[in-house]
This record gives sequence, C-alpha cells and structure tokens, in this order.
Amino acid sequence: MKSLFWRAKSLEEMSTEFLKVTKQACQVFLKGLRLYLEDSLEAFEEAYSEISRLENQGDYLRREIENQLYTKTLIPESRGDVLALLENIDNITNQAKQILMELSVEIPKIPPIFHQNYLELGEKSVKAVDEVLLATQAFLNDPLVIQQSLTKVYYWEGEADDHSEKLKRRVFRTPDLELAHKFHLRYFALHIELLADRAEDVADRLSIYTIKRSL
Amino acid sequence: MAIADLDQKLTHKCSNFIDLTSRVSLVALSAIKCFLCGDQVTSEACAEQVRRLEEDGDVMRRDTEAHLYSEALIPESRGDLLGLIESTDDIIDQIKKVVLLFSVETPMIPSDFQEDFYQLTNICMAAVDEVLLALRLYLYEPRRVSAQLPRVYEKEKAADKQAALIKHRAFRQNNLSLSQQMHLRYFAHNIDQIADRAENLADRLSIAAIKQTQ
Repeated sequence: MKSLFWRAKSLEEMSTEFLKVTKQACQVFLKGLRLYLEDSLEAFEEAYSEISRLENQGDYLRREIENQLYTKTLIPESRGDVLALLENIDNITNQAKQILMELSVEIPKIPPIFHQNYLELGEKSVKAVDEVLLATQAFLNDPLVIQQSLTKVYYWEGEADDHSEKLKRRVFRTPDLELAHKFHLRYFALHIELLADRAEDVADRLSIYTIKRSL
Repeated sequence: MAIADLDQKLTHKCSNFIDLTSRVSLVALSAIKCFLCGDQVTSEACAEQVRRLEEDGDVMRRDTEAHLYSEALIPESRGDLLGLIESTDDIIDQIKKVVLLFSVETPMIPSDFQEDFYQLTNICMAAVDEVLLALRLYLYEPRRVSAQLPRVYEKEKAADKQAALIKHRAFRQNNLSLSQQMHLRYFAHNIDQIADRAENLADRLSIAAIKQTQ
C-alpha cells in the first residue's frame, strides 16, 4: 500500500513534525508532573511554559496542514479523514497542557502516599499516546504495521483506566482527608486518565480509516 | 459561488438561526450580569428567556436541516452546512447550560471576583459575536471568512487567559474553602467553554469557506 502522502511531500514532513511536537509535549507533561510532585515549583513552571509553546506550535502546524490539504486539493479522497485525525491528535496535546495548567493554577495538595500512583498513571497514559503516535505515523507511511501499535494503545489505555480506578478507590478510603480534598485528588486522576482516552479516540479513528483504505 | 446565490430560502433560514443565536448570547450576558449584581429576579427572567430561545433554536435548526436535505439546491455543500448549523447549536447549548448552572447552583461569588466573571462572560460572548459574523459571511461572501476568523481566535485566547486568571486567584484565596474554590473554578471553566464552542465553529468555517470558494 502506498504512503498517503506519496504526492505531497511537504505535507508528509509537516505531519511528521506535528507528531514529533505531540510526543515532545507528552514528555514535557511527564517531566512537569514529576517536578510538581517533588515540589520543584520553579522548574515545574518552566515545564508548563514549554508545553504551552509546544501546544501553540502544534496548533500552527495543524492549521497549516489543514489549509494546504484544502487549498491545494491534495489527497482529496482522504482529506476529511486526515483532518479529523489531526484534530483528535491535537486534543492529546491540549489535554497534556491542561493538566499542567490545572496543577499550576490549583496547586492541589497531593499527599506523598499518592505520589507514586500519580506518576505511574501519567506514565501509562503517555505510553498509550506514544503507541498511537507510532500508529498514526504508520497510517501515513506504512499502513501494514498499524495493527500492532493499535493493540498496544488499547492495552495501555486499559492499564491507565485500572490504575486510575485503584488510585481513586485509595483516595476515597483514606481517612483524615476532607471530602473536597478527595474530590480534588479524584479530579486530577481523572484528567490524567483522560490523556489515555484521547489516545484511544485517535486509535478508534485509525482503525476505521485503515479499513477504508484497504477496501 | 455563495450559498445566498444558490438557495435564498435556505439562506434566509440560516440567517434567522444566526439572529436567534445572537439574541441568546445577549440575553445570557444580561442574565449573568444581573446575577452578579444580586438582581435574582431579572436574572431568572433572562434565564427563562434563554430556555425558550434554545427551544425555538432546536425547532429552527431541525427545519433548516430538513430543508437542506429535502429541497436544497446545494448538494455539494450540505454536509458542511449541516456541520456548521450543529456547531452553532452547540454554542447555544453551552450558553444555556451556563445560565442554568447559575440559576440552579446559585454560586457564592465573592465581590472581588464579580468583575472578573463579568469580563470573562463578556469576552466569550464577543467570541460568539465574531464567529456569527463569519458564519454570515460564509453564506453571502465566503471569500471574506478567512479574514474574520483571527478575531474569533483572538477572543478565544483572551477568554482562556481570563478564566486562568480567575482560577489562579481563586485557589490562592485563603479565606475560601477548597469546595468554594472548586465551585468558582467550575463556573469559570463552563463560561470559558462558550468561547471554545465558538472556536470549534471557526475551525469548521475555515475549511468550509475554502471549499466554497474553490
């Protein structure tokens, strides 16, 4: 099967760059989460600035690709699919940035007994994202290898779900925490878990597009 | 060619729907302003008006969509127009949601936050206003849409900034309980979502306008 962009090399480069920016944003997200939990707030704020810059860069690239797709009428048969795919991937970066923004704004008090749980939840969610980015790259360039990555996305999304549920159960069974404090901790677990859900959304779309392309 | 040149009846229906959305945004702004000033009676009357307008909007939207698929003379653009109408309806839904949240949950907004909340609402409604203008241009002069859209994005960014400012301040107020801080954040977030809905419509318009002018 041919690369989707075999007639549009500049689009291929921009898309690769867009995926790279998304991956970087998720790495920065993990770094930021770790720094917040270590109480290194100055370095954490730098991570937040960095992810904001990456999000802007991603928005610019996405709009540029979309613009080219429609103004130059490139790949007319698949451009609707590519457009929806890009918007879903953009949601991943938005979610990663939103979590750091919420940590920065709301400065939740996360008791040390939960630090490891939050970190592992973040790592599992980012693994789901890494896999879906590989799957997307495959969709654009080499659709035959896509299924393997999709299986891993669903695996890591499931892991993140389970981990998040365990964390929330622990939080709500911890005495000495006010109900509002438990809600706040649950809110952050939910938002980190949503990162994996965003990856799953992309994977669902990729599954359908792969079938469409093989017909 | 513009949709107005191809199907005048459809254009008229869409135009009425845009007018209604604009009215929803104005009445909602008034509802929230009155709430913040402590004028509950007027705020509730405005909330009731928003509710009725939203119902009228649903009827109007369905009628326009039915026309689009049964009589419209623009088969190549109807998918785009359908998406645009539904995105506009999402704006109305979000505005109604916010107004009802104020009515149902009657949040305790400290006096030093009232101006900030009003500003946030005002910016969001300005984003709606800008995107509705872009939608009208799409019907009549699609070539002018791309020049209008940056105004929507600019307002959406300003709304994000204002919402972040409110949340940042709320979580640093030691005299507020955590539950109150979270309640303020919830309202700032939901108001900010109105501008996000306007941005979604702008994104759709951007592509639809390019297709319409090719």
